[in-house]
Amino acid sequence: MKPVIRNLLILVVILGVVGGLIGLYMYNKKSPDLSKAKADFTLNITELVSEFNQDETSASAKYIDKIVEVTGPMSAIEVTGETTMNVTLADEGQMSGVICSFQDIANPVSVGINKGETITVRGICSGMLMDVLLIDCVIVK
Amino acid sequence: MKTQILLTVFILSAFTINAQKFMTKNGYIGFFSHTPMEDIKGDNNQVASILDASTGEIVFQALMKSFKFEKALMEEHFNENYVESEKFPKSTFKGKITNLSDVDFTKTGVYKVTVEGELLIHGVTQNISTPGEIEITGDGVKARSKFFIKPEDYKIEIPSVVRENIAKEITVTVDVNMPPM
Repeated sequence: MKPVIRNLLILVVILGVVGGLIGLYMYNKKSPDLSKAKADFTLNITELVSEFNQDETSASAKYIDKIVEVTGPMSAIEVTGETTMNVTLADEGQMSGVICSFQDIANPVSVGINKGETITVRGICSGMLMDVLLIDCVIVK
Repeated sequence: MKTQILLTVFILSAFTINAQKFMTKNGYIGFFSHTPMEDIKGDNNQVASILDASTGEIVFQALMKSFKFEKALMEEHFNENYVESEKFPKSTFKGKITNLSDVDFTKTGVYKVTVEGELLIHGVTQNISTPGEIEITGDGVKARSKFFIKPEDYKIEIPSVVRENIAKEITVTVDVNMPPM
C-alpha cells in the first residue's frame, strides 16, 4: 500500500472516531450547570415581573432561554414532582412573582434557605404563566 | 345582636366561597415515551392549576419551555423541532369533572373521577376524556391522572430518522397538590 493512501485511510479512521465521540458527547450532554455561568441579565424580581406585565411579547423575546439572575424575598418553598424544589420569590401582596425550579433537590432543609429571607438565584427563563418561571436554578447567595 | 349574626353569616359564607377553589402554581406534568431504541422523559414542575369544587371545572396551564429532560439535546429537539415552543409557548387543558357528585370535598379520601375537556398543545385543540383521582386531604386537594396522546393528533411531526425513537403513544402523567385559594 502506498504511504499516501495508508495515511489517508488512517486520517479517515481518526476523523470517524473523533466525529463519533463528538456525536456521543452531544447526545449525552446534560443541561448546563449554571453555578459557574455568567448571567445575561441581573435584576431584582420587581423589575423582571413588571417588564413581563407591561409587555409580555417583548419581555419574552428578551429573556426566554437567557440566563437571568434575580434577587427577591422567598414567599414559598415547595418540593414538587419527585426531586424538584420550587422557590417562589415574590414581593409582599403581589399576585405575580418569580418561580425558580431547582432540579435534583428533594430536601429544602439541606440547602439551608428559609421563607422570608432574600436570596439571589440564577436560572434560565422559560417565560411567564401567572409568574415568571426560571428552570435549572442555582443559588448565588 | 342582629349585626353579629349577619357578620357571622357573612364570614362563614366568605369562608365557603374561598374554600371552593383550590389552586397551585407548583404542579407536575410529565410525559414518557418508551421505545426499544430509547426512553424519553420530560418533566414540568411549574404547572399552574385551578379546581372549582362547586362546578367541577379544572384548568391546567404549562409553559413548554419548562419541560426538563435528562439530556440537553432532547430538550432542544423537543422545543425547536416538535412542539415549536417559540410559536406555541403554552399548553392548556380546560375541562370538567363529569361525576362531581361522587366527590365529597368535606371528607378526606380518594375519589375516582372522569375528566372531560379540551387539551391544547402545539396550537391544536383536541377533546379528551380521561380517568383520574381526586384526593381530599386535610390541606387541600390532590389531583392525579395518567393518559395517552398521539403526537400526530396535535400536528407534531416526527422526522422519519427518529421515528423509531419516539413512541406512537406518549404517556402523560399529571400530579398536582392544590391548597385552598
